[in-house]
Amino acid sequence: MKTDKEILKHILQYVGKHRMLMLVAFLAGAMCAGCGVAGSALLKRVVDGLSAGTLGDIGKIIFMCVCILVVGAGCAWMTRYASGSVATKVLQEVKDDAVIHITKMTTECMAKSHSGDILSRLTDDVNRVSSFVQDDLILVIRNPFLLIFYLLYLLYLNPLLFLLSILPTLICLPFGAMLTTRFKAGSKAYMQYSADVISSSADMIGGIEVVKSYSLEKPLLEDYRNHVQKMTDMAIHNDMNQYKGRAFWILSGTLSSIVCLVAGGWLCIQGKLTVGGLVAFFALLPKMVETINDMANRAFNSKVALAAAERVFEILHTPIEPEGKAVSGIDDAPAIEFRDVSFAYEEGVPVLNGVSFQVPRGKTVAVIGASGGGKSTLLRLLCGFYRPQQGSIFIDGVPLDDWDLEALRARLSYVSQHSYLFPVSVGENIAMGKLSANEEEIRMAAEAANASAFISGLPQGYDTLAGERGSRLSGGQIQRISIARAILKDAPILLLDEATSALDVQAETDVQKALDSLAKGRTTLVVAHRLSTIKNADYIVAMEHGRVVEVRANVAANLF
Amino acid sequence: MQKDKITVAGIRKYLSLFEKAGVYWASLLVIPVTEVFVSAMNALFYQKIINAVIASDMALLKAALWIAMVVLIANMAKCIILFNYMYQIRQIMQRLRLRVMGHLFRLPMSYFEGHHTADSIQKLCFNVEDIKTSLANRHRRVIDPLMIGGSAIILILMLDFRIGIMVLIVSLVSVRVNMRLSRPLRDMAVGIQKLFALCTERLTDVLAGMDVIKMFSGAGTMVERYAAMNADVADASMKRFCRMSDVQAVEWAFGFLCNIVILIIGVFMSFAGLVDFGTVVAILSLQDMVTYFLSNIGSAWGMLIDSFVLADRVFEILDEPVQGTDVQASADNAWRGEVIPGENDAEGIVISDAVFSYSGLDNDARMALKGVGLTVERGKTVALVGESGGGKSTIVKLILGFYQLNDGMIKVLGKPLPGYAPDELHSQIAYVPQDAYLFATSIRENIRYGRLGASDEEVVEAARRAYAHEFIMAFPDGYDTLVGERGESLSGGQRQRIAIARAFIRNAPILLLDEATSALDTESERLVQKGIEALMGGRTTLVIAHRLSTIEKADMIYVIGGGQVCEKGRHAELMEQDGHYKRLVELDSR
Repeated sequence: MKTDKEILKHILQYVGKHRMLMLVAFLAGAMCAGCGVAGSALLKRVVDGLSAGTLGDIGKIIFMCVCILVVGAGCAWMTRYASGSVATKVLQEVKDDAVIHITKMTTECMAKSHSGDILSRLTDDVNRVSSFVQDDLILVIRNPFLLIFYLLYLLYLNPLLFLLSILPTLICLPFGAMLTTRFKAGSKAYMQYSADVISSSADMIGGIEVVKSYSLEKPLLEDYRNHVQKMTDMAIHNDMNQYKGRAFWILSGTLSSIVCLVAGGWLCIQGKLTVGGLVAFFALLPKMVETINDMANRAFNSKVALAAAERVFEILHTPIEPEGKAVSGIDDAPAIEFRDVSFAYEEGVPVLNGVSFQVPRGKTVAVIGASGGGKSTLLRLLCGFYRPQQGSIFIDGVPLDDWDLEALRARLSYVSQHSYLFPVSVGENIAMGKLSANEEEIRMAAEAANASAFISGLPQGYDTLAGERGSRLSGGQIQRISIARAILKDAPILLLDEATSALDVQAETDVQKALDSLAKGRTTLVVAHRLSTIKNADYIVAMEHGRVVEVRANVAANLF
Repeated sequence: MQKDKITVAGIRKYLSLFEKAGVYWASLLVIPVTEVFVSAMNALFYQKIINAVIASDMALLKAALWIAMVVLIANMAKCIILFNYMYQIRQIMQRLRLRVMGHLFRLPMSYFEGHHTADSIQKLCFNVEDIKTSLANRHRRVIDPLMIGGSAIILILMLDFRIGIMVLIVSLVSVRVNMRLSRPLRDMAVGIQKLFALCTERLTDVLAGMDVIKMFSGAGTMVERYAAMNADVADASMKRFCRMSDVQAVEWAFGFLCNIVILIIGVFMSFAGLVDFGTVVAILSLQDMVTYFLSNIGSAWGMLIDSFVLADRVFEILDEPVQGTDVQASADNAWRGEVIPGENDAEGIVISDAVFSYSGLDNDARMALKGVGLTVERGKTVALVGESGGGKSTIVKLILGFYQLNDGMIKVLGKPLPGYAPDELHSQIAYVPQDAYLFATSIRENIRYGRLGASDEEVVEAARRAYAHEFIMAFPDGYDTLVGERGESLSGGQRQRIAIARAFIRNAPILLLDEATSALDTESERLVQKGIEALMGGRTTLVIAHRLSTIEKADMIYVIGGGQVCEKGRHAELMEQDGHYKRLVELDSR
């Protein structure tokens, strides 16, 4: 948990990039307040001038009115626009930075935080921060200055009257602020609880078959009654705070204007204040009270925004993948070497336990063993998604930690069990294999992956949308598209995690053909489930409970 | 209700939504009266005191002070009235929530078949919440502008006709300009929301395809795609800010006009002897109410229509005809241990020539069952196998009495189904659905739901027999562990074992079991299997089977497909037949 100060500093770092705009917003805001004061002063001048008969040119008064009106409206416009600009830009920058950061985040962190959590941080929380910057930050900075403006002018008009009229506000304010804070916190708790009630009633409706077959209507309704009762009680308790708070706010406003007029009136009658002074005072006082109330109310908003900001900035502070500087390997070293590698996703649950083996350049090594034996983990380690706790992994003779990640990953084609296609066109999905791939290359890759025939048969060919809302691609088709992507990438090392889920016979053959053409001429490490794959491998590594139990050259492959 | 049309019957129906709401309706009228009173007194106070000051009249000043006291007290009274108003709303809402839930529970199964769960939840929770907004805001926004605005205008014109007209004109113009300027704001906000949703969607893509993005440099376009949408959102919101700034400037200008310019004009007029200055201040203090009236009167009718339309969504549930007795009135119908004696003691479940369609029509193109006959002898186990959509689940639902047959007959324990009251039937049956449904309470309560009134010892005993005791005790809170929403804090196998324990504690003579298809890890699988076998022991069991081991142990297997019984027999017999069954088994073991 960071201190509010640090978080505010972080927000200001982003805001600081737009300090000119912020300055404009601030100055315009101050001038707007100045126009308010000027209006009051003008009023005073008119009233006093008329009563003393010393009012000068009416045209001049009108001219001043128009000036104040135009400048004030302009400044009001500027304040809003400039603070809105800052908010929008900060929002955009934070989100962009966060997403770029996420792509560099360690897979471990990704796995730990729900993707829903990241989403909500980058939507709801970022929005909260943005609305804070847009509505509150400018006022948090501006309000004290406004207050000084108003205060000085009111003090100038009549110090005694100022003290008297500000007194009710000063007395009521702490109570009002306290109750409002309580109310807002209570609302949050109420929202939370009603969300819980919604989900528990969703359970009841979703499980209606169970409810009916076990005749649970009555006890569950009783349950629901208790929940709703508690909701009502919470709400009423909260309403109580709200209206008590509101009473204090009203008291603060009403009392101060009553005191102002009564005491000011008395002062006038005593000749200690001019009528114009009283009118000007009375015109400005509500603005002052409003500003004070506003400052108190913002305190709570700021707290909410700071909490949201903390959650957003947490994303920006998650550890990113470590990387080295090596961009090329040693020519005659084995393509892949595991040296005494141990790894656990969770402490105390080892997945790999001192694994050592090599994959010679240009050869195919099949890893076999029961599921849960850590085979897929080998591939994930090679991709640099996770780092072994012990031992080291060499790729082209260079330790994994020394590799520049982009260079390393450029050398690897990873075909996982679950092929993921983005919801963009099929062609674009394949094109991801190579930056600036042209159409011809995409077609060739699809051809090689045994996918061009079915892609041409799709309603919009290569432009057909893949993924959830696109045309429904079958499992085998998705696999072949992702293989085409890997073929286009043309990396020297292939990491292949064979799918266990069954495809129908035809799809199976199609995918197999695609894989064969992908593996051709590449160093291949394959987690094998199919007998044919195992038969064709040069070496077989058998794993059990995270250990290598056997490494043997495959005689059947007959390659050496 | 038809849009834009409000009939007497419609109003009567709308009012029927709120029970015991007399105090509420009264408050709805008292609030604007209080508001008007407070404002009128306030204006009077301003008028008197300013005039007192100008005339240097101490007595008038004192009189004004008394009015000020009235203003203060009335203000406090307003807070109390508003609180009471909210209090009434909370009570009405509580009654309404219970009424809707109670009604939902009494709806027949066909309702839930025809309506998505999310739809019912939407109505129960969010649409009912909309009614609260109607009570708290919409109704007031219909009544308040009329009462408050009307009185304010009359007051202003009564105080001084000329200044009054001036203020009214300025207000009218300000409201018109403001509305004209603000109108596109809402559309803009909707547009931004849409862009924002797209942006979130693209973020989701990035997160889902993270491995691909890391492994393929070309997939960086997905991040760019997000950034581009993010920039679009920024552009759109800048446009909106631009418009909001316009509104802000106009508001400021009109505020200045009313507070300073009109005041200055008033000063000139008062020195010319046309009006007293106190009156000018009093009029301006009422100007807020006029603005409120003018800004809201246009939407009042829409508010009223909205209230009715939103209520209709809730009525979509309340108007559904219910089935069976009032939930409140029905007794606890848990199984009490007596077996209903049947005519034929050997009969457990007998289904003969069952014809059924979900629509209830005989000529439905999609008949769910087309003449199914099957028998489960008392104490025996019958397995239903077959492709999904073949009618297996329908058979189970029919035995549970959720639907009526179009034709044919179902007898449970020798007694035909229509002869049972729903609760009486259910008390003979323990049903274990495919997705082990847990409720958001403790594990103990979830098991006890099998038989309300079971002792804690019985709960533990049931859990032991379902092989659930050990993992339950491994939780820090043991049986008091809250299972969380939909039991999400438990693993699939654990949830299933709790559902089995629930069936155990029910101790009903008939067991209907829908085996889970989802794969569990080996250990869980074994324990669930053991639990199920223990549960079957001695009971008349009908199981929709997915596990070969379950099927092999069944006394009889019915292969169901296309709403008919395709084959029946024991495992070995069916394997020899080389029919549907053999193909199913082979497909499964591949």
